[in-house]
Amino acid sequence: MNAPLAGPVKDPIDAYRIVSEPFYRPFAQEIGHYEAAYAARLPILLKGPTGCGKTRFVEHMAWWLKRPLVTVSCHEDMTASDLVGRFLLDADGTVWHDGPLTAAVRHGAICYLDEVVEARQDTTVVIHSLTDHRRHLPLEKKNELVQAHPDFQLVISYNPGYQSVLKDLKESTRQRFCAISFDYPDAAIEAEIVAREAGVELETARVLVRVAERSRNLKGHGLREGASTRMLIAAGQLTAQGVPLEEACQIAIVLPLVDEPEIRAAMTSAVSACL
Amino acid sequence: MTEAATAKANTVEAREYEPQMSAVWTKALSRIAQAGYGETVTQAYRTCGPVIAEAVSEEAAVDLGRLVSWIAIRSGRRAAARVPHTAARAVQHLKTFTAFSEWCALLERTGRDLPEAVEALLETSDRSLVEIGLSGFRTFVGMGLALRLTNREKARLFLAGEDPEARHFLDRQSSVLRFDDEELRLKTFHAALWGQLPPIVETPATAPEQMRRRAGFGRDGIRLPSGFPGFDRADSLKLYHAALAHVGAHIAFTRQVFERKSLKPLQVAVISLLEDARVERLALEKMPGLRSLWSSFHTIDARSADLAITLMARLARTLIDPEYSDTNGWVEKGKRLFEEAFAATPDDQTFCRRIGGLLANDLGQMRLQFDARTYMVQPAYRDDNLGIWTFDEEPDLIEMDVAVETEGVRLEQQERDEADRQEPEEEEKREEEAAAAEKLRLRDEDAVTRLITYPEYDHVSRRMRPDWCTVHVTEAPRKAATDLLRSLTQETRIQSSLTSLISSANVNAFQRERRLETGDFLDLDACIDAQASRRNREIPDPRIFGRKSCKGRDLDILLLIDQSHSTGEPAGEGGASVLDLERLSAAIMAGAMETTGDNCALAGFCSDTRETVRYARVKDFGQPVDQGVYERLAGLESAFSTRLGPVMRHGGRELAERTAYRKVLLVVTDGEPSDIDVDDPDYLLEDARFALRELAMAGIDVFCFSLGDNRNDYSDRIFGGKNVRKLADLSRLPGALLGLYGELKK
Repeated sequence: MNAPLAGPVKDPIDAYRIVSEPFYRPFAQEIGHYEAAYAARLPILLKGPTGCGKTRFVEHMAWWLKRPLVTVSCHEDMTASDLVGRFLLDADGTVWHDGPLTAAVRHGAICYLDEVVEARQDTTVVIHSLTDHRRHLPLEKKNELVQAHPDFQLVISYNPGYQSVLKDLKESTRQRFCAISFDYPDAAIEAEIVAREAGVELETARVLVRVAERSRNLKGHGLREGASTRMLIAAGQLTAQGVPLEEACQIAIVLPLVDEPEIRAAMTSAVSACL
Repeated sequence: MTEAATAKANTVEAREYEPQMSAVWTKALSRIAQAGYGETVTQAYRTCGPVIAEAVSEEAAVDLGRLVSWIAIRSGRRAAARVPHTAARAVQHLKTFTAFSEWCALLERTGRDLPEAVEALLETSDRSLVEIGLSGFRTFVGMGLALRLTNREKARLFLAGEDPEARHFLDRQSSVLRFDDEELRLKTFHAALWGQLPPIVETPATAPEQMRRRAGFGRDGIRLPSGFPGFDRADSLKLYHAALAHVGAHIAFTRQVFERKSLKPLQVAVISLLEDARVERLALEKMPGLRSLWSSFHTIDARSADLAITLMARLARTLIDPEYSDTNGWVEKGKRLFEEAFAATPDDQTFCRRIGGLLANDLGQMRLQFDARTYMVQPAYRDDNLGIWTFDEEPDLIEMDVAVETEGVRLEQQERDEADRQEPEEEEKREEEAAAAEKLRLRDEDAVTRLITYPEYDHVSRRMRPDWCTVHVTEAPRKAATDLLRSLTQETRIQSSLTSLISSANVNAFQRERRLETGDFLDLDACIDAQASRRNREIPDPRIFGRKSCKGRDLDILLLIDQSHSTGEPAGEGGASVLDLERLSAAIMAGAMETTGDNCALAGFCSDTRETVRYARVKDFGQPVDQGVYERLAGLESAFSTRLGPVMRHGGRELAERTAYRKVLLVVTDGEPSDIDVDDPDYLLEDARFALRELAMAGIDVFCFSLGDNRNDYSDRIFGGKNVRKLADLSRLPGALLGLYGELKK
């Protein structure tokens, strides 16, 4: 969640507005597709590996459409109450507090559930009534039916790669969404992004992208995921701070990615092959 | 013998008997002289004795006299005459009296148990002491002598170091960096660079010299030398990296194999050299860091003599190392032609053929000698070039052991006729080889057999034999599962009782957690307490929520199904074989476990010598029990033998990757472990016991279900009585499994 829940705020959703333009470099027709889906208020599912720009895309779109963005990072201990809200103890007894989802539904924000499969399946079921023609959210404990604000939209993301078979979206959940697929961008575009975001020369960014290709080759051969664009930007930022490129790759890519000494050694050799 | 050892031995010959030795020595010497073993023996003892006295002690020299007599009596004069010389060399490594005595004792034991092998052992002693030390030598002798019980000639060959197993042992124990030491690292490196992982294997010890010393590739994958003698560990590791990067560049950029046709060996060598340079250039465009890795091995100097091989090495260097300059006309011409052609068409490999032909002709006209038989591609990281040519006469060089395995395990082929298979037609072969590079690119790792080596425990020497067994991991072949499904429907009674029994062991599926700070529902008791506190003007406890949570059982079971030949025999009534019973119980168990939320995996196993231990995956963890699993179960066939140890070690490895709290390996078998390359009846049994201990240390529980006729049952000895359930027929299965769960709940 990007801001605290409690506290007397006049428009509770104001804190979630995005003021300045988040940088996003489109790689295909995804912006047009999103706009079309939003116009019809269709819920959207973003698929793709970690650090390839899913969250940044939603931020960019929220900014572009001038809607507040409520982000919830899902985790396996998350319950339906964490999304919907709950009674909390107050000086006068128990008082109802809206959860992030309810707040977004009431005030017409885009609600972004990040890594939704991490949450238990019974938790994700609460979004069902919001994602079909009904567009309402029942608050059972409060005995209230919240009708969604006309601007409300639900966006969820997940990474189909590394979750186990047990952690998959229910068929009934996934069939409610339109999906946009993300992947690491092409080498040229990725280098452009890294150069722009990390503030490094394009040539340095190209080297970092080559390093990333090596690590992505290792998916399934010792790594669950290759280096993400986010990692490359971090490595680039380190070089911009004066850290030599090889060391920057080591601390921002190799070490975070790998634990096993042999794989790490192999990855280090592959990094030096790119420099 | 090493050069240093030869020099030392020569000095031994030259040295004369030294008079300051004591009377005890003189007595020992005269005993040898008068025993009638001949002058050679006496002379050897006379010259070497003082050397030993000097290096160790005089007592050692006297003891050697006793050994010489013993060997002379048991093995003959020739062997006896060699003993003092070998001993004089051995003391360079055996500094203490204890160590020397032990060395003598090993020879003495060999003289007693296998006198004909003493001479051979003296031959191996030098190398062994240098490479594997005295303790390694002790194990080596122990292993060799143990073989004599079944095959004296094999034992003699073993001690001579000529038996492949002996070579394997000596190689593995030596301190040179070997491919296996860094296998994972190297394979990962290759995958990172090239985005694919063809099978990478060590070149077999039986391959010709030129293949053993250089890397190579073919349609079956990449082979690497088992070591690079003469390079230290750091350099060897770098060489392996450089070799994999180079071979990967071939696989990526050599689009077609070159046709040998009527080309001379020199032409082939020069064309290969240019192609090597071309693919390296292309690889450098993507990975410029490889230049420093490769060029560090190009050490040839421009001042070296103008021989064909040195000129070629200089051309190779000038094509990769921009800082190197060479004024030789031929080298300059080669560089100029290459640069022009590469700048025009870098992807066109035919220019290598064109230019290479020209350059080779020039070399020929310069009348420079080139011996194709001793030619070794330089530098050492480059491959032997067999992979980029079609050779008419030596296709078997390119074939590797994995060739047969990659197409899946063919169990029905019981005759071991793989060696003398019919050679395919020439035409066909050429076509195949033309498609080789393409095939390599297309190869998916999942489609091939994974080869994993495991050590084995030798109860005679009480040591692990490193990398002794090769486990071939494949997916089990599929076959129509009609019979199995029919039997399954007949056994519904057992299935349902099993499911209910197992799930009854699974109580407390849901738990209510109370007094939490956050949760799904208000905990009423806590709320009342909190209200009471407030009325009493105390600070209320904020933990007023409760939550329902599912605490599933955390259990992973790996079921290993014995599919050795003996499981094909009928068990009990109805004519069903032991394997049928195993299949059925595996299917029932897997189904029951899945419905109750435990994870289970299934695999079949059998073995055909230590080189080929087959492990056929039927169902992996997390995979649902579906038609595919039944079909793979049906695809298991009875064949070959039972080598439990490596299979259990592999099972342990699979389980070690799981995160469950409780890990169980369940072996379903019908009898004792055996294999055709093992004569000692206790060997495999003891190894399996040892593997069990290893698994226990890794926190894995091992149980055994022994099926069928249990007259000759060795499972008790391996697994321990309480871990074995004997099932004469299927009706006992639910009870046995429930017992297992009971055991696990403890």
